[in-house]
Amino acid sequence: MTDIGRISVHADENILVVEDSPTQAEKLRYLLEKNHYGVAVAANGNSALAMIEQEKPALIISDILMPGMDGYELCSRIKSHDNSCDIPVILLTSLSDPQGVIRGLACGADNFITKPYDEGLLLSRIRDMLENRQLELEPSELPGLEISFASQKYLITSGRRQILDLLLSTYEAAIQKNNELIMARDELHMVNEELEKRVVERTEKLAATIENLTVEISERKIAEESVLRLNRLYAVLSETNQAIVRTKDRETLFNEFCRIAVEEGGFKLAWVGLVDEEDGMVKIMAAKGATGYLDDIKITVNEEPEGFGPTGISVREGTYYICNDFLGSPVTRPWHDRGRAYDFRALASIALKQEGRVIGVLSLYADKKDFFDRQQVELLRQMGADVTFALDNIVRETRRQEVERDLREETAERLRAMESLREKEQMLIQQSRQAAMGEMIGNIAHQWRQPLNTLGLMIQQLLLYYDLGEFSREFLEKNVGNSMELIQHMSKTIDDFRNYFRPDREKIDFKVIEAIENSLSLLEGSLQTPQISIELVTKDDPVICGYQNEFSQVLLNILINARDALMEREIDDPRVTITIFSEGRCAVVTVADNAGGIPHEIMGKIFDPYFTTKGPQQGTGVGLFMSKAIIEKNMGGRLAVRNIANGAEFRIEVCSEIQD
Amino acid sequence: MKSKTKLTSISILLVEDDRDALNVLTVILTKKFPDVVLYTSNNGRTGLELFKTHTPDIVITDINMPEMSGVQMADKIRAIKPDTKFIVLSGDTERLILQDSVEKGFEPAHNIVKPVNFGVLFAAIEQCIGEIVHRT
Repeated sequence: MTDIGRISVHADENILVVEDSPTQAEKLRYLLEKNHYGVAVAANGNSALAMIEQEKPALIISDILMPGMDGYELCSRIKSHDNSCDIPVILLTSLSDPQGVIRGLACGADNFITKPYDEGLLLSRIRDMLENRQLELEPSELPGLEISFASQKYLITSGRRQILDLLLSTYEAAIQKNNELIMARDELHMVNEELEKRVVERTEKLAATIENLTVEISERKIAEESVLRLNRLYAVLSETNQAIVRTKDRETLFNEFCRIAVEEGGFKLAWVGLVDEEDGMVKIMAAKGATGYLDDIKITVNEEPEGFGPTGISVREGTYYICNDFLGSPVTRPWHDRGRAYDFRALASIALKQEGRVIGVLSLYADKKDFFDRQQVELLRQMGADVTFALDNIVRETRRQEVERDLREETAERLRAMESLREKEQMLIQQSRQAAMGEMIGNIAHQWRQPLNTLGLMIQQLLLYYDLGEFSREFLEKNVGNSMELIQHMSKTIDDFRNYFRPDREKIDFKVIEAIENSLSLLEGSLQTPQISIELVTKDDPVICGYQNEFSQVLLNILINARDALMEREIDDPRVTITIFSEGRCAVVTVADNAGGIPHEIMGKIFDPYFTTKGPQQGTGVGLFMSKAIIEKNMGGRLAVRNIANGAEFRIEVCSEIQD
Repeated sequence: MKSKTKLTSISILLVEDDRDALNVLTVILTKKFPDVVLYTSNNGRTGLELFKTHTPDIVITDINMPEMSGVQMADKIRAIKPDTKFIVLSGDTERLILQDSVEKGFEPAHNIVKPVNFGVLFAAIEQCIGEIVHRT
């Protein structure tokens, strides 16, 4: 609680600062210590009184507004106590109202410093008070003075010096305020002057700007009229360009151009003419505006007055021709009367080209003499170039469309051809299947005939034995056993055929030898009849990943072909040699016969669809075609044929896709 | 009397490549015609050898056989003994072959279509025997 503060070198010149704001207290302490005073700080009235009792300071500086005890009350207490009444008290106040001054006097304060205080003033006041302290010690010789202010009574007991000091303080404060006011007034005056100066400057600038603007506006008005005409022409050019992008045919382009020239460009008349190559007459293709002018008009590019007008000149020279005095120029003489009727004063003709050749003109009629100036001529020239470009584009587009149409037709034709080819192929597949079925049914019939016959014999044997009286259980048992064996065999035969005809759903690994044995067993009967000897040479035991039944079918086709060739040529010792071997990662099967080989002239055709050497009853001509398709398309292998010493050799080669 | 003797000396050559069929036919012919001498073979080549050795009166043969077909064998037998009686057992598919051989001069006494009916076969054999007996 008690803050003794720091004792300075002048122990008798300790100052107690009473201030509730720590910031302000610290600020004051800093100032005083810098000036070699000892400083003690009290945060409120009570602790200040306690500190005074403990150690009497040389001077007290107190704030007025403090919580609890305010500065006036603190001062009264100090002054009312004998031990402390001689300590000078400076109150920090605003001195803004007389009531404050009177309360200060009433409480016995020795001096007032206005807040915010001037540091120099404060220090000089402190110095003065400490110096005058001795004088203060004189006892108060005057009785208390009671004054009334703002309906309040105050008893002033202060001595003359105190009152004087206070009045001086008040006066000083007043002077200071006045000085501040004067300074503020001077500043205001300066600001005012500056403002005035600026307003004058601004006004001058504004005036200058307005003048410039006026000049600009008048200049612009002059330019505007020529710009307007140019703008219209620009509009025509722009619209024409859009029309060029939009239109795909010449006629529409010409009509659009004329419409735009009249509607957007404000021309009296616009027309497009094409030169007839045979008679040199200019034929009007499109026109807009005062088209009555063109009724029965004669314009040519021939050697005659009507052929030396603006149109004739621009066509001949391939550029453009401007006639800025339509009714006065000798060039337009043949049309002066017509022109006058429609009030045409100026004309521009621009040559139209298509693929580098002049084909006609664009003509624009204006109602003012000297309508076309240099800039406009440039624009018109550009317009001519644009239209020419468009014409070239149209020609190109037409050609492209023709080529495209041809291409489309060709494509459609090809598609039709492909479709019919596909249909043919489908038919072939169907025929091939039917041929295979026929062959198979024949084989089934053959393989069943024999056991059926035997079965029939066995059954009839039962009755015979019964009639002969030799029917015994033993005999019956033997007979039934044999019959069942035959029935089982027949059942297995149809199973084999059915399996063979079941379509292969997915590729499987199968042994080549098994597929070959399967084919041979199916053909058993039909190779037997002509007593063809079959030799099977197994050098390796390769495995193929593919469709086993299809593979068997291929072998069947090749074997049947060999059989037919051998039978047809009535070979004495017919034989077929089947050789199985591996070659790298490929399984190879060769089927060789001794039927004399394939004639050279049909060698290249034997795999063609519908190619057959057999009669219509026997051959469909699709067996080898289908075989090649199965091996090469379905299984990614190769089926080839060559002639050997005394016959033909077919070679089937299927390679495994992934090498382990 | 003479015919009786002849009858007992009647001999038949049976050629059939199917083992089971041959067995059954052998058994029933032996049972049905106990007095006939029966020679059997399962192919044309040995059948021809048997014919050369025994010159049987009647030849019952299958058409479709390995090594030598029934027709080939018949051609060679006819060259040796033209009046040999042939009973051909044929399937439907062999009809064409038979037709062809008929055109070439081979006319079997009987053509029995498989599956063979005993009644028909027995009647054919009996007819052949009758003709042989009558002829001699």
